[in-house]
Amino acid sequence: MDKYYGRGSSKVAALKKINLEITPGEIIAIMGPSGSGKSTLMNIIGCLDKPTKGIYEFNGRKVNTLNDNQLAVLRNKHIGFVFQNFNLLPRSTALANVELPLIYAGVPGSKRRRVATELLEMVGLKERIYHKPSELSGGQKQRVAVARALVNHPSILLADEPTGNLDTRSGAEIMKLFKTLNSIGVTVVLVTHEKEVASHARRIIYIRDGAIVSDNGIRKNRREQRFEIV
Amino acid sequence: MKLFEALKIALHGLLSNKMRSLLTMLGVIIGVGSVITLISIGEGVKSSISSQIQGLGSNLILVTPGSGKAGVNVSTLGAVNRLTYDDALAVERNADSVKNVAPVIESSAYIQYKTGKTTLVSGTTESYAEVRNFSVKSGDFISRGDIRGYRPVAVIGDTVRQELFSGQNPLNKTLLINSKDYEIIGVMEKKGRTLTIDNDDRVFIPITAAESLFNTKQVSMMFIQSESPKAVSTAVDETKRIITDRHKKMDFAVSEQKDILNAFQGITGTLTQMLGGIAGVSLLVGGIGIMNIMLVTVTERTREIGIRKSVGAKRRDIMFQFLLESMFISAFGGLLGIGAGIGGTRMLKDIVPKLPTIISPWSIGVAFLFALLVGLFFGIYPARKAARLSPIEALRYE
Repeated sequence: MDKYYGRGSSKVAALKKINLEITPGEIIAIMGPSGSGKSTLMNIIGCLDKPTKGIYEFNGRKVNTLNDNQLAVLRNKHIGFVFQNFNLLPRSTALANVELPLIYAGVPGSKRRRVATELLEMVGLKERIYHKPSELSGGQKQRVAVARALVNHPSILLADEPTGNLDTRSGAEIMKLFKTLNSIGVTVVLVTHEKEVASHARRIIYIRDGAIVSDNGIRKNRREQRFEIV
Repeated sequence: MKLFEALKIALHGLLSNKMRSLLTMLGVIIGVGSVITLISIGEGVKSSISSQIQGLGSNLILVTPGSGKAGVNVSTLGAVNRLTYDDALAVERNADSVKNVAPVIESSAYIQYKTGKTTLVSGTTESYAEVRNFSVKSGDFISRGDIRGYRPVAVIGDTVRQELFSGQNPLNKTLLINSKDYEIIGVMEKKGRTLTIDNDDRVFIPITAAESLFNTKQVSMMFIQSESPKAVSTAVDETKRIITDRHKKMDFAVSEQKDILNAFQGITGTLTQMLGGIAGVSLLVGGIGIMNIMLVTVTERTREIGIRKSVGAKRRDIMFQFLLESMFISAFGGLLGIGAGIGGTRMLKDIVPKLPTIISPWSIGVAFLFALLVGLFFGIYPARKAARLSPIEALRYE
């Protein structure tokens, strides 16, 4: 799979000949220096973007052939995002932020509140559900973001530098949370440049200049693969 | 996504920037308010003119010399087209559907008691008062005897009384009209204005006296009253037939009150449309204000759009959210604008009491609907822009 930006002579290759399979239940870290293309890869895995060349299959569906709306549904039902800068709606409460994916999934209000409250309790923010992001610490914000990412029971959790804006203690807590989630079956993909963070993952993929330099993952039979990039 | 959720999100967006929303709304409020106010002026003028024309007298038919159109007063000086007192008598005698005929020889003249002034002198018959709905306050109106006897008598209007006889009783005094003596036998009740004409600034004399005073047989116009409202068209036909028989040609014009009314309603209708159109432009400007602010809002909230898209908002969800915001501005602004329009009209009445105004329900409906359309139209572009943002670029936006 390749990904280019721009056209003609200004064409820049962000990803070159990427070949990657992610199996359900894995916890993976994608590492690389900035500008190596790891964020682009994450965007493609997260169905925010499509590869220029090659095929990306998600749960057996060819993402290349999907239109914007189908991608939105896919993101809504199967993918949870956690970002470095949290990306919470600043004027909405923690609860409203967690409810957001459910609104677009068409879940009725009372059920939304119940599910969102449960998740906020799970990430340890029971007392903070009516607080706005500005009233929360960085670690708390990231936990709200994790709750939001999980609210639709996604197949995969994508975290782009989730600890980048956090102090060591909060970062460690978030990583503990990810490991707990992985232990109950959630597929986790971490994008990071911190070795410390990556060390939590069983499989580490290094990227440099848009290409995979190393991947310690164990290849499985194709039939068992659920996510694959060829 | 359900409509209710979308509404909640849109409202949340608006409330998060109250001042800006309010100022944008102000454009719509002023637009809708001025549409309603200006149309109320147009409608007020229209109805006031209609009632004034209806106040000319009921079942009224107007005959004028020449082949002029309805309501147009052709010069009395031309000797070619003669419409005379005898024509009036013939119509009165021979037309069954005609109740009264009031021919008028009208010209301005210089009148004098102690002070003098130029006014309109109308030579007419005893029928005039009834046909035109005029009544005498004191004394008598011109009688058939005055006409037959060519008596130099005069009945004065209220304006003339005030200007020449303030504080005095004018009855039996002698009034000079173009230097000839006339005895005042009556004073008219105040009648007010028809359009711009002061119905009280005039002097009535017997038609026969006017013939010699102005040295003409030609009547300026003839007011004919039919027996009943239903008989108007029959009376028009009979009048045409009788006078044509006498003249051997159709050298006069007959118009009904309805024709005059229609002519003026055409004019005032145009006036209303014009005023509404001018105000509509301000509403349009308000719409541009909405678009402007929505574009700023979309840019400001690029990251929010990215977040929403990343958690599964479809294009149409985003489109709907921003479109609803602009619709909200225009709808709410429209509602407040209705209040502003009604308030503005009341205020106008206080400032210019003479200006007739009527708030018609249709103008409220039209203004509100137009505001909604403006909100929709000017909201589409910003909403589309928001909906089409790429989620990655939107998330990266600082």
